[in-house]
Amino acid sequence: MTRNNAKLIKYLTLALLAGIAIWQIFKGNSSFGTGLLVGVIAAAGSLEVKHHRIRAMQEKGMNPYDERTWTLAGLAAYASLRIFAIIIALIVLVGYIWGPQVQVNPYDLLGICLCVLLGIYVGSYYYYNRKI
Amino acid sequence: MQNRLREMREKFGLTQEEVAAYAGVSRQTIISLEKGKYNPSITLAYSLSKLFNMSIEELFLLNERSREYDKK
Repeated sequence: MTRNNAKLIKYLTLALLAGIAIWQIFKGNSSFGTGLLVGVIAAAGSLEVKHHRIRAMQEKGMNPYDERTWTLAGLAAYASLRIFAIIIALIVLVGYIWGPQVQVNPYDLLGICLCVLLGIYVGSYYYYNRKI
Repeated sequence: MQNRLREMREKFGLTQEEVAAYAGVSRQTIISLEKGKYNPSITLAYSLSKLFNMSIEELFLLNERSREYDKK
């Protein structure tokens, strides 16, 4: 897949998500719809800034996706997996023994897990970016 | 791993950006290399040594001390 195709797919996905957000707002699920719409706008803005910076680097002949970036991504992914597994294992262990039995919406839980995992990944990436 | 990248870059009168553009990497990679925080791939080491008309062994110095550092 070329970089332009990947960019097109990213923007199509954002447009689709924005459509879902607007549909949800009109359907009456305004909190979810507004949250999703704000997320889509933030993602589109950050993607545009990122593409601008990448273009500027490429015009100078530099490669923003060089080997160091992949090394950092690999280290961050491994660190995220380890930290996330430890956190989840502790929560399951402690919660199963001492915690109350609660009913949760599995989609909320999956969303929270995804946010936590991404947060750990971003934090790990910045940590290794400063270290290496 | 220790290296003579900064010394050679200054000797050749090049900026970090110019070296990065030649090697096809980011400026941050050159900064990390100069600080000895990052070990390059064989392709990047070869590309940099070619730029300075040196062998890889002359540009990148592997000694016991740097091996100990890499283990940490």
